[in-house]
Amino acid sequence: MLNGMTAGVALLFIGGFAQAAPVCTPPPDLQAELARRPNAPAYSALGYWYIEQKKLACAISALREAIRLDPSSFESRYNLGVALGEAGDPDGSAEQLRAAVRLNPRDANARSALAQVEQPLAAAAARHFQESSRLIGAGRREAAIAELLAAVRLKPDFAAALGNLGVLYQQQGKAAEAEKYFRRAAEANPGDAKHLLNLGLTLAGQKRYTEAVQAVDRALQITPANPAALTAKGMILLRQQQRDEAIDVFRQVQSAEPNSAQALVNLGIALAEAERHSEALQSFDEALRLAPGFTAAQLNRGRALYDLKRYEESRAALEAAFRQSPDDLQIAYRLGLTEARLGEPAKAAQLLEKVARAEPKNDVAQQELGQALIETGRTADGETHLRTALKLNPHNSQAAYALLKLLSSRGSEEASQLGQRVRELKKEELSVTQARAFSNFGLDAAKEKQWPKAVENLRKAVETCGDCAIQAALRRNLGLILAQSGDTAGAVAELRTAVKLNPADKDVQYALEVLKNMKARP
Amino acid sequence: MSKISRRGALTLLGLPAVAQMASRGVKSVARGKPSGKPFNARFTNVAKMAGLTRPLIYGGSTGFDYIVESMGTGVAFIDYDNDGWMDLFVPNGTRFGGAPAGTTNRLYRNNRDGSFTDVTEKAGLVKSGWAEGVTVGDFNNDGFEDIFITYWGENVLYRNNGDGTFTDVTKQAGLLHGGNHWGTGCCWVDYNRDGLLDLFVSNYVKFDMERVPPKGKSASCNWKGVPIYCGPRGLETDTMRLYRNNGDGTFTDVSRESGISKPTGSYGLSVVPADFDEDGWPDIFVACDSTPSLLFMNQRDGTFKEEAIERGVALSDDGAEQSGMGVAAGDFNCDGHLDLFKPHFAEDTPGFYRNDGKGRFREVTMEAGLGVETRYINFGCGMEDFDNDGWPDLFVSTGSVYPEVEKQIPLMPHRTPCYIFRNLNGKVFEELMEEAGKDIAVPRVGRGCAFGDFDNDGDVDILLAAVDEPPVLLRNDVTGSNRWLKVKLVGGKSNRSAIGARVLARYGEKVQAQERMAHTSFLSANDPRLHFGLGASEAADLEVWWPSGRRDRFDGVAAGQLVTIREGDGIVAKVRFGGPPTSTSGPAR
Repeated sequence: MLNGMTAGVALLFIGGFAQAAPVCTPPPDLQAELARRPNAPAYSALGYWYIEQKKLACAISALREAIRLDPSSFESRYNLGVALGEAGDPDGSAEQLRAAVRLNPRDANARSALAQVEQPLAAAAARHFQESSRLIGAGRREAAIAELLAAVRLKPDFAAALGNLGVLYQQQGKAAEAEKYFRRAAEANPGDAKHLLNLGLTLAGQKRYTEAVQAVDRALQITPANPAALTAKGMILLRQQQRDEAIDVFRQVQSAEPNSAQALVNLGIALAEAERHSEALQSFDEALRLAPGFTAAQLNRGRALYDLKRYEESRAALEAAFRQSPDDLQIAYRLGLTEARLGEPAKAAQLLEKVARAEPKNDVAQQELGQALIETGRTADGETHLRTALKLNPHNSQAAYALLKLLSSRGSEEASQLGQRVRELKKEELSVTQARAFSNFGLDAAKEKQWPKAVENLRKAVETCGDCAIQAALRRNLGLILAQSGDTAGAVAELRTAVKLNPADKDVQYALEVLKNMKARP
Repeated sequence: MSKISRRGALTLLGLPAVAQMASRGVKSVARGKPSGKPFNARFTNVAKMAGLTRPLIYGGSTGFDYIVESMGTGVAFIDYDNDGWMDLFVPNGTRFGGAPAGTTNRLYRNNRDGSFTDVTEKAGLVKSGWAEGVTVGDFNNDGFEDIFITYWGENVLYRNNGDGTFTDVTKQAGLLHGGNHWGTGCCWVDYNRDGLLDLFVSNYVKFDMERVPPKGKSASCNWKGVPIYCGPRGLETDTMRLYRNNGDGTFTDVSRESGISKPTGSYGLSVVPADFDEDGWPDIFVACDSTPSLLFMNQRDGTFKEEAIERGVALSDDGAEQSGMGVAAGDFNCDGHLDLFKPHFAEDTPGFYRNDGKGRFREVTMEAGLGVETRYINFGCGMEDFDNDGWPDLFVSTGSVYPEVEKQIPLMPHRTPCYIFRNLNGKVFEELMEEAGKDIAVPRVGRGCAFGDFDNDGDVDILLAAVDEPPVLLRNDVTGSNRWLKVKLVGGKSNRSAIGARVLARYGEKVQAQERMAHTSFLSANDPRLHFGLGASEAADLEVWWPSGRRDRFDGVAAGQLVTIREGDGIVAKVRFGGPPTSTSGPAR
């Protein structure tokens, strides 16, 4: 047994130094100790003895074995860091010393040793960082990423480099990588709200809204009135359709930056989404007073007026925006719809043709264009666009009806099939409307903690909807209300259905995790 | 059981709010130059003088918490005592928490001197509740007109006992429906042509106060941002009902086998039954609120097929649902076919549909000049020749359903005027208000209206229900030399009320079709006597298509009189108003 253990140690050394083949002979007392108790302290002691003997390779092997047996040994980490430094491996040394500092942050020797090792590394990392900045300026993102990666290899807690990596990955659409580096940046410099804010935005981009809000809230704990963080939070809340909460947040931004037209536009958008149209219009008007000609304000003002069916005023606002940004498709689209409502099919067709060319998969643009063309007498072109709209979205009832009318006038047999289709589509639309209403009534009841009424309305919404387009959202709401009412099993069942219907809804997955953890709790 | 706190992971997903009423947000088109043509009809509200003083109560006086309160009622002309003078039946509503004492449906007997006597109690018609629509017809063919009233709650059938009294026979007739239904439009119609009047009932929403929050409790219920009651959009729909008359005083619900209950996505309101495709069998049009309207085409075998979309009367020209409230059928272009007029919500044009005679319709709203008026929420309507010039005009009653809105949006007042579209030439109309008498333009919360000649003076008067005020009786005093002719039909083999009978009147170059309908406008019933303005024509040739299939023709019927035509017997009476009736023999060809 004893021999076997010794042999084992010997094999380890042989294996560890296959190339250099140093002779590592422990002193008898330590060898005896190792034979008796081959544990981390024994190997650690052996490593220390080798360092004193300047047998660095032997020391490194012994200390690595000590760390393998006990990764939380401060002494082993520290001694290995020292040995690696003396052996000319500053990266390895720094890594072990950082680990040692993490294990015992108050140890002055370890911190001093780490500082000595890091100084040259930090300088090298800074050079890489500088180079990356130059490359970013030159638009060479890949090369910039390589430089930043080199920087964080040399200085793994280089927060600025980590943050920039996150930004570059985010710009490349690599959300997972971006998230990783933003998290590391936030960890490396917990006092910098910027990294948490970026993390929040990245998470929001992945539709992980709940986690996103948590990250932004952490940023706001650091800088409570930070307008950028508040704006991000407002936007995320709006995405979550928590409109009233978003409005409160945007009002805070507006208080912090009373002369910001952008803040007013953001507030206006939130108000419009909450159907508080007159207040929204006031916001857009105020934004335009602060920044006359601000295109975003004009566009959103036009949209709000369109939603209010004040088409002539909408046209005026959108025309102003269009004059400033004639290539903006969003503006052209909205103006095209407005012209159609105002009975100007030729103008509508001109604008919508541009939109349909640039966005050929926009079924509403195709349908509106088709109708406008028919009204201007270009029946064949109009029919083509109506058919395209229906192909893109078989649920577009207005395209189906317009086509039905066109075909009826020709006595086409397809017309009767379209009639049935329109009937079914209208029924589907009605079901969605009813389901929405029941869901909203349920949410109203939930706000007042009337759980049975909330659950009843949500169940009615789900039943009315059937397999309609908003089934996932309804199941989600039902699941969350069941959870809040205390019916965890029911909640889990509904949320599982919701996630099956919409696997992209990370919030539901997160909620399921929370419920799972709660169930696991005694 | 563990509970999750609201903080943290779980966020309820609010869904987009639902607009409460379908409106396309259409602005009115510019008015053309006034025609300058004189309009010889003048309306004066004579309700007070006529003794109509009891108000229509419907919902809260300052605001509506629930959609039920916004609806209001129809009204009816009925000659309940067969004296040749139109009496009035005015349904009434109630309030949550209780209506003022004395709130009841009312029957007013015509005193033949321009005034009326309230005979409600004597007639046994005292009843309060959320009354809606009314249809008048002789369901048991005993010679006296009976009354059916829809309710949010149980509908009611009153049998006319022939002695000035009525009996509630709903239960024994098998018409109690149970469950949660909200009846609105209703009409007597002999759908199977067996000579017995069957009953069609339109249902609005399944309204459950336990489920639907009151005004202000749900952010999703608002009109342009102003909190209002919830609905109808988003509320549960109901189906239409058809009851077959068994001929023994009872009815059988044949909704399912007839195909009437097949459409399930409709908020049904007013109804007009008429033979739109002229195949001899009555079809049924239902004006629907915020959902596609319905046109049930009679398949001549006891069943119906719903074809409104295919026939062009379900949706707006651009394929959108509209808020159909009332509906009128008439022959605006005098081509012998029944067209449809269906006004809508504010910020929307009415639907005006020209019939090709085969029940296929083309919307002609804009070319008829009806796109000039989109300001008001429209309810009652009629296609009647008010100035006797030979072209049927249009009348519309209006009134808001959101009393709360005007405080925040002054352009949406609660009380709004009525208006007339006078028919200029069978193609184009011109809007009139004060020009037809200042009482037309008085702002009111107008609801149902019915058309009839209460003073037997040879023109068409209007009875209007207006919330929180007594019924409005707009007496028409036509001047000028235009002629007129009235036709009263009495069924023989067909149902005695001759409901479903069609008269084609030929005068000048025109052929005007009218059909005897038991329900029209908004939840209302008109004078059963058909009124034709003849312009300068001194006589008209009449053709009668009876529901039994019989067709009669009477040439050269002189203007300025009411003729009574009995199926199989021809013209049996002629009355020159102001004088006694004259019996005649009526050769039917």
